[in-house]
Amino acid sequence: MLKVEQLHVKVGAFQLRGIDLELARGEVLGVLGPNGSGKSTFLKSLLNLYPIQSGTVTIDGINAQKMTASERARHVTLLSQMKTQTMGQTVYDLVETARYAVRTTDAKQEQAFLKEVLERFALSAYKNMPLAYLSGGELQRAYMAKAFAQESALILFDEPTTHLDLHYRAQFFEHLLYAKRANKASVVIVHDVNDALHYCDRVLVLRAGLPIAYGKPADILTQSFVEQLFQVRVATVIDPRNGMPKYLY
Amino acid sequence: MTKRWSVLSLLIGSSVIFVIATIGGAVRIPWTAFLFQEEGVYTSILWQIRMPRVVLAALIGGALAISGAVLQSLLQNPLADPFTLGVSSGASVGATIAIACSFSFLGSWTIIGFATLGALLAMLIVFVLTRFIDMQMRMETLLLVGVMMGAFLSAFTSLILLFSPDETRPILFWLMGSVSMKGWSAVLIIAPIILLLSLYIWSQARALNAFSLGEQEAHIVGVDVKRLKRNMFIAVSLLVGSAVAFSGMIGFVGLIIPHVTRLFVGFHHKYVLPLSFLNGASFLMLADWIGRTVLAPTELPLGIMTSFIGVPVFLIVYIRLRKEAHHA
Repeated sequence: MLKVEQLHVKVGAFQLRGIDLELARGEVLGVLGPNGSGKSTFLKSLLNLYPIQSGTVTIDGINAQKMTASERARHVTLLSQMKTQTMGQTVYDLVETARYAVRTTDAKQEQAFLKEVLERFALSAYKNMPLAYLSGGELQRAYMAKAFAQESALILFDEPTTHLDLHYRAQFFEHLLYAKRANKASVVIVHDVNDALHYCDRVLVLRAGLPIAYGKPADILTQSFVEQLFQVRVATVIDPRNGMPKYLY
Repeated sequence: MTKRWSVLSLLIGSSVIFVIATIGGAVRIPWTAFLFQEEGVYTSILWQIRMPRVVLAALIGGALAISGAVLQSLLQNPLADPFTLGVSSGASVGATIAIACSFSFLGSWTIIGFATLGALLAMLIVFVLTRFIDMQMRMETLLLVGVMMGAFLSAFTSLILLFSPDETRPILFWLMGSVSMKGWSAVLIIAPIILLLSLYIWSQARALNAFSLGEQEAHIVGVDVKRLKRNMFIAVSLLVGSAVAFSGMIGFVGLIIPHVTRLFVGFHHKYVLPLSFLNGASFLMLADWIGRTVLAPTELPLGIMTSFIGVPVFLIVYIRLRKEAHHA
């Protein structure tokens, strides 16, 4: 449902060039690369947050450049910074903003839908709590709920597990699997190579704005490749749970 | 207090204030004057002088309050104020020039006309300059240009004051704000402008909800960010410009009323926008009533009243906000 052809993005002095990929519903694309390689820029350009110099992004058969703001919001969403605001927004307020482009005119139906989304992310008790009072994990769930409330087929995750401890990182990947089961297409910026191996159907590896590899994780993320990419020696072990390689550094 | 009770109590409170403001004042008007049958001095005062004054205060208070609410969301800054766009300073310069040069070719509308012109020119310059500096027209840039323009134009006003020793008093009086002696014609001109613009702003409540999480978040949920910023900027400039043109500089309303309103009804703009308008209207009617009653027959200028009442209220609100932030 996502097709990227020869994508060229320019942000200030930084350029992202020559990206080609395809992603189907129910698949997870991991984006990997050293810091500053353009992972975040790539994600944001899929949403028109950065203008595209050349190339095309096609979502569900429609050229993303030609979409209006609300049309685009119906197809793709981004989970990025998880802010807490001083204006007293509650969890409910946050999740409700996602309905801007997709809401129906039936108020009762909207309420029921939002109630269901909050339940699914174990936030029913936090419905009226201001964002500023939430813990890191609760905030993450709230932003996840918001992303799902937008009902877009494509969800982009921009470094969502930075600053979070193991519990919440694990929780994030639970949510990612849930998105997969819900037949969403997901693009995730992944920092840990092992996460890419474990959770992603495809990976795109970027370095200095250029794609240096794209395909199945098992094919691409060999030990030598990983060592070369991140300039670090690793040891390979086999994960007893699923027989897949894991890299230790 | 549930939302419904909050809204109801605010509506009742506003009505009470409206009645007090119309009855009370240097001349106390008996309730019989409200009945249309009687002729006489009280009826004249009520309908020709008092009522238009109170209605004007309500409209201007509402306009300034709703503008403040919009700006606080657009800028994601709880300390944003309608006067930070430089538009009100533009109105001051216009009015000051008209008074200083004793222009009168528009009759009693000369000062208002010049003030409006000044506001529109300031808005245009701020808009064009912001676009020139920053293609994306980010709110930080807009704020910066607005503040700079405001400072520049204020200095200009002071300069004119310096060279017009004879007109100092009327200029200062205009600057301090007033809704007196404007009459129904003023109300009839400004009412549709203020009401239509406020209704338009209210229609964008959901977009503003999204915006208060940041421009990026608004973009993500599908708001046409560029268009919204442009439209809101124009709407707020027109609201503030016309309010200031008619009544001079009245501070604090746009800054504190939205905060106080949010304490009552929460964050959703569907409620915050219209109720800020209502609260702003009540506040200014009250301030005007106190200003003309406390030292009757002297009238204390509105700008002074709003600052005297506004500052302690603002401090209370701010301290409360800080406490909440510390709590988190």
